[in-house]
Amino acid sequence: MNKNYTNSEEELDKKLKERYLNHSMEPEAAMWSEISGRMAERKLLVVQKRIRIFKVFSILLGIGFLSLLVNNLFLSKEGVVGISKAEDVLMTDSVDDQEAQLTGVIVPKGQLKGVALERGDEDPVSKTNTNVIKSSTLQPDDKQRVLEFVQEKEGGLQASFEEIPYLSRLGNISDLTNSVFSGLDRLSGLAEDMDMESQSHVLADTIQYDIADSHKVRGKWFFEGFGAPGLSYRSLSTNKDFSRNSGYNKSYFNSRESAELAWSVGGSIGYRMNSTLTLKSGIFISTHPLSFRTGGEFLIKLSDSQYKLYTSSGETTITLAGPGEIPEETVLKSSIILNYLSVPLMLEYRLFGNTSVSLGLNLEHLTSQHLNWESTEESINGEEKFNGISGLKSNTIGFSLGLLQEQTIFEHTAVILNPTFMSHLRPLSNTSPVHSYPNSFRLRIGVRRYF
Amino acid sequence: MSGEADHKKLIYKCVKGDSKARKELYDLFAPGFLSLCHRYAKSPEDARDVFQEGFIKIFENLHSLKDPRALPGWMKRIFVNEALKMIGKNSAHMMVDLSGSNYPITSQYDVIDQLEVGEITAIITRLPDKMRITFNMYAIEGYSHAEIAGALGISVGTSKSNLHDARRYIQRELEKMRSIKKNHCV
Repeated sequence: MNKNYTNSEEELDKKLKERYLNHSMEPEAAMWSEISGRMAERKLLVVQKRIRIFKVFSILLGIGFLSLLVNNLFLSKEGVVGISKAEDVLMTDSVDDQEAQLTGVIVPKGQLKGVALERGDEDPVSKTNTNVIKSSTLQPDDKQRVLEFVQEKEGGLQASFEEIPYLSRLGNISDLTNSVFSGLDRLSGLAEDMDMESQSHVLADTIQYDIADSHKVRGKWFFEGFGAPGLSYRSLSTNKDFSRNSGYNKSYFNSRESAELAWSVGGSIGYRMNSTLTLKSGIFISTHPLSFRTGGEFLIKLSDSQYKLYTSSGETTITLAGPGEIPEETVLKSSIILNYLSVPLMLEYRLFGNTSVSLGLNLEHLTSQHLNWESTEESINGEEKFNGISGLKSNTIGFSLGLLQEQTIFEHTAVILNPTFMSHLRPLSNTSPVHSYPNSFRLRIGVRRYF
Repeated sequence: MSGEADHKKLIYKCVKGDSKARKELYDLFAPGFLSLCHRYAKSPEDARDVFQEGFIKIFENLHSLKDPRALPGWMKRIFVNEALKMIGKNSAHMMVDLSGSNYPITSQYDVIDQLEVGEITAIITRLPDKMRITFNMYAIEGYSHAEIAGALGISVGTSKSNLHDARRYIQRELEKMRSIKKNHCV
C-alpha cells in the first residue's frame, strides 16, 4: 500500500515535470526594454557610487598625507640635536677623549633622543678588527642620521652613518632615552677593552656624511614606476569663433557632463642635481574620460541612421541601429574616453624632510578616442558606430603640480605618494562650441629605486 | 558542441557589454524562465519582478560564470534565488485551506494531460509560499530536501512535510478538475 502511495507521488512529480519540461511563455515586448532600462540606471548608480568611494578614499588619503606632514614637521623641530657635536666627538683622535666626549654628547638630555646599541658579532677572520658595535642611534634632527656602526680599525675607530628611515622617526623616540645612557656606557667600556692608545683616531671620510649629500648614499639617479587612479573632468571657456546662438554653451555642457574615474601608469628616470632639486622625465599613458548625458532632442539627424552630437570636446557623428525617429524622451548616456601618451619633464623641489613639491610640463599625444554609450531607447542600442570627435588636436601640452612624499622602505628603495593636479594648457579643439581643457586630480603611487 | 561554442561566444559578448548579444541571450532563455517565474511566484506581477530582477542579476554576474555549459543551470539558480527573495519581501502569508476540500486524493493523473499548463500553474501558485517553493524545487527542478531546507531556512523534516502537504493539495485539486471536466463532457 505504502509502495503504491510512493509510486503515485513519483508519478505526479513525473507528469508535472513533463508538462513543464518544454513549456515556455513568450514575454511581453516591453519586458526587455524595462530590463535594459533598469540595467542602465544601475550602471549609472554604480559609477556614482564608485565616484563617492573614490572621493572618500581621496579625502582619507589626504588627511593621512597631511598627518604625515605635520608629524614630520613636529618631529623635526622637537628632535634638534647637535650633530656637529657628535661629529666632533667621533672625529677625536684619542680614545680617552672620545669616551669623555661621548658621555658629553648625551648630557643635554632631551636633545639626543635615542641610542640603542648592541655588541656585534666577531669577525672570525681578523680578530683584531672584530669589535663592531652595531647601533641604531637616532638623531632625529633635520639631518636625519643614524649612527650605523662604530668599528675598531687599525689605528683608530671608524664610524658610519646611515639615513634614518622615515618611519623609525615616528616611533616613541623619547622612550629610548634610557638606552642612550646604557648603550653609551657599554660603548665606553668597550673602547677601554679595545686597548686603543692615543694614536687612535676616527676615519674622517666615513663620518662626513650629511643629508645635504645624501645622494652619496642613495645615488644620484633613480628610476620610478607609478600607477595613478584619479578623477577626470574639464574646464570650459567660450569659443568666440563658434556661433553664439547655437545654444551649445558652457551651461549646456556643464549640466550634461560629469567627472569620470581615470587612471594613468608609467615610469620616469630622475637625476638628483643637489639635495633639493631633482629633474625627471619619462613616459606614461593616461585616460581622460568624461561622462555625457543628453536627450534625444539634441541628436541632430543627418541621414536615416546617422546623427550628429555635440560634446564639449567637439562634434561627432554616430551611426545608430536601424533607421527611424528617435523619441525626444530618449536619454543617451555616454562616456567619452581620450587616451594620451605623455612625456613629462618634471622638477622636484624638496621642501623639508621627505616632502617635495613637483611641477612639470607634459607633452601629450592623443593615441585613441572611444565613445561608449547606452540609450533608454532599446531599438537603437544594437549596431553602433562612433566616427570620432572631429577637430581634436593630436598633440598638446599640459602641466602638472603636486606634492610628493617619499618613504624609504628598503635600502635604495622608496615608496612615493604624489597627489597631482594635471591640466591641458591648450583646448582640445578649436572647432568645438566651447574650449575644453581636460583636467584631472590623480594620486600617483609608485616605487622609486636609486642607483 | 556547436551550441556550446555559440553559448561561449554569446557569454563573452554579453560580458563585454554588447547589448545585441544580451538581447540574443534574453530571447534564447526568456520564454522558458518566464514559465519558471510564474510557477514560483504568487502572482503574475511578482513573476514579472522575479523575471526582470533575475535577468539583471544574470547580466551583472555573467563574468563569474566559468563553464558556459553550466549556463542554463546557473540561470535557473538565479531565478529560484530571486523567487526566494521575493518571498522574504512579501512575508505576509495568504491562508489556504489545504484540508477542507471534499475531493479525494487522486492517483489518476490523466487529467494533467487534459489541462492547460496555465491551469496547472494556477493550482501550484495557490499553495502557500514555502510549500509552493518546496514543491517546485523538489518535484520539478529536482533539488534535494537538504538543499531546499538550506535555501528556505527550514529543517529537512519540514521540507518533507511541506512537500507532502503540497502533493495532497495538488492531488485534491486535480481530482476536482477531473470531476469538473467529466461533468463538462457529460
